[in-house]
Amino acid sequence: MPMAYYEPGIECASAGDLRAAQDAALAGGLIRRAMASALYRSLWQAAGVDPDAVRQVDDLRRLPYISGSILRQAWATYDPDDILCTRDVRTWFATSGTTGAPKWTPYGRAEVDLLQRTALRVFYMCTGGTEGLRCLVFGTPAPFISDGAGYFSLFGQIERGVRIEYVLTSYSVEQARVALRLVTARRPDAIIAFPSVALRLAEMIVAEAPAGALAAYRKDHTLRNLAAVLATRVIQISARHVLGARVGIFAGETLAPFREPLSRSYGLEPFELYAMTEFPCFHLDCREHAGMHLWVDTCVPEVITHAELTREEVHGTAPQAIPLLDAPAGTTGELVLTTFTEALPLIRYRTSDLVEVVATDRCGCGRTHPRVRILGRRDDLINMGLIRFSTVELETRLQALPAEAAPAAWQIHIVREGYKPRPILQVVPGPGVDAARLATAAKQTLLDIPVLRAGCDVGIVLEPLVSIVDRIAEERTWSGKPRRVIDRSGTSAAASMPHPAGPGGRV
Amino acid sequence: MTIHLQQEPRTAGGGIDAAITDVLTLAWRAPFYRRRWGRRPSGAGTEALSRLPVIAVEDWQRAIRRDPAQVLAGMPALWTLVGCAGRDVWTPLAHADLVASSAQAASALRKAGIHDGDRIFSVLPAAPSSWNALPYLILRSDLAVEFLTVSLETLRLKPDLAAFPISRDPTVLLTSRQAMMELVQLIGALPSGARTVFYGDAADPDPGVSLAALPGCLAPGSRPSGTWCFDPFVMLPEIIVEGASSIEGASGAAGALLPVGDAPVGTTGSLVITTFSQAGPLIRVATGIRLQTPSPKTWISTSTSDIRGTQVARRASVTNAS
Repeated sequence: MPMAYYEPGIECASAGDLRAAQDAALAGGLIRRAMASALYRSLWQAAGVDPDAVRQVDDLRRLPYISGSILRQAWATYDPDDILCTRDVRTWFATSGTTGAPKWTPYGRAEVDLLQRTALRVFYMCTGGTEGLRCLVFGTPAPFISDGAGYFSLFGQIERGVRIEYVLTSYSVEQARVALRLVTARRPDAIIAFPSVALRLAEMIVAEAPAGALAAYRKDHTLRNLAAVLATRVIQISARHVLGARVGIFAGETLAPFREPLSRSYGLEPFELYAMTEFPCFHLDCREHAGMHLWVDTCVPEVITHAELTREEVHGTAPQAIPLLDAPAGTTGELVLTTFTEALPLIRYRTSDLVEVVATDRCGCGRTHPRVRILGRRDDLINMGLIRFSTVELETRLQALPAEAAPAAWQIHIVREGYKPRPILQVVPGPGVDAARLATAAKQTLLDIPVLRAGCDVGIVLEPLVSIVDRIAEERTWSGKPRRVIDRSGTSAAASMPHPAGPGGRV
Repeated sequence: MTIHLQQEPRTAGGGIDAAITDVLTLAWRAPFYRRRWGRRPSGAGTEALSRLPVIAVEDWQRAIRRDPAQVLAGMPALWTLVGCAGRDVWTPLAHADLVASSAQAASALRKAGIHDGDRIFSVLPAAPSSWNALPYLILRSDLAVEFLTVSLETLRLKPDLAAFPISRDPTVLLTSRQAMMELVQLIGALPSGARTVFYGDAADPDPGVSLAALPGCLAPGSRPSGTWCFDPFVMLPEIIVEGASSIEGASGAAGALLPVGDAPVGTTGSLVITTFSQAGPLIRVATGIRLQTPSPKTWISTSTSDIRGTQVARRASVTNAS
């Protein structure tokens, strides 16, 4: 596959040019525009911020951070029109709201343009930009950004005269079945999906291929259908036989546990994509597969190191962040973003995503944008990739159990069997509580969480188990807090990281 | 049930004839039509079209099930599923079709009463449904509206996702009637002050439905005054007159088949469509939708779009005050 760049002047720019581009964006009025938003106005006034004094990356340290909860609070407090920095909002997308109320993000033309541009960059990165490719995209239905991801790629390509063929479908097994009948004949070159959904589809193909081929032959006595029936009798049909894709772009959950099974099932080269609803920009690992390139011409990424995070938790001091371009390889900590968007720029937004800086020098692919790995999340999330929910939700439901079935304490473990996660809830019975009754009630409580129920129903999460224990084996976070979620689902690669956890790129 | 549909009079005849000639030339590339037509269409425009056999939509579907390449006359950009008389029909659309569909979708929404500045709370199905594409088509158009879209698939898991769109005081609720009923069950109440625009199947007799999809088209048609209007450069309707030959018998029996624009007022029959997709046009495909040609009334379209080529060209206003 030839090396191909969509914007070589930017993708391979020198570090000095990238820093200059970031400084120019800040000097170009980004902070003054953001000051018009109620999200920042009072916060910055309280901090004595002079927006005209923030003209380069080093000046960002004068600004306080914002977080997901501040963003949520702002939407709940102010008139949304007072938060927006533009009147040209054309559409909105929402986060799933796993750690609280969903966060809705406005998209104007500038945001759509940015998505289209970076969609083209990642497309060139993994496919070489070849015209005439066929893509199969599994999205999540609105209001999630992945509902639009295929359209943004497609329309971006149309504007640039690149002709690619798309079949868009959604993650549900039923929708996938409908699309499969078509795509098995169209043989996509690339698949864009959540890793767990792609693997569930692969399982479905293995299980249903023989009967499906026979049914197709009975309906249409074609040579092609006959050959398919004969093939199912000779070999075990897998996704690689049916689809034949050579590239997979995977987002929404850490790719590491899925990388090998995806390669095996589909015979494709998996690429990991990082994106978030709040920042409409796609980041991808290149063919070197040594971390995802963060496009620093679209934002200023910073890292709050683990040492600073610990200081913050223990001493309550405001942590310092290092611009990512200045961070030594191996630095780990929380990713902070300042984005050059228009409808609602994020200024020093603490993403809660824990990252490892892989490298900031030129990559083997020729690109100069720094590379990171996503290690996990800081917030209290029960994270099984695509399926995630808050510990608060589980706690609330467990507290609502009747006294005779109430747990005194709990801890949830996420283990992985094959590539599928399984939640195991450990519960300590309260005084006078019947253990068997508690086990039944606790399991039902888990299954009453709609997103977990859906994950089990479609087969991307294994059914939860409940274990009655006398005491919870205490584990603590790196800052000393007791852990309620024990994630044992990492692979060897993830396990070697300092704080293995679930999520990777999130969409 | 019978729907009402009217065709723009052939005042733009020259343009339509040229478009038909082009699409027949294009369609001849597809094995699906070669097999059914036997030889290249002779003549031009509507005259050439009138000599071609009618094909049942089931044949189109069967061909796609066997091998989608059979129906392709050009490179597709997007495969989408369009509801048609209760069944879903795969429709391939070319890159140029998508460009044109943005303007056509904006035009249909305007005819359904949606205007610049509207804030639309839309409840749309997941891909590959053609309705899923609507907000993204409008994003590329000159219709300056704000979309807050949710899907029932998501709301069933997290009904609170509807809270923010409702708090934005939408001016329009865009939904199917069925989705609206489930929406009420999920969230309790609909946004107050929003006028409802219903979308649905073109075969739906519900007079409240004002946007409908048809196979071969990504942009919906609209029903501004009780009668379905499709841009004639998107879909050319004909009618198999009731009581005449069956669909199969209609092959070569041109007398039983009339352009909707030429049918006498009150003619009842079933809808046959010709669409202009550059990837997979539907040529004289019988949809199974029953229709009746309406009384003459003002054609309210103010402009039509030429889907040929990659740029959307505006045409002169067409009005018929008959």
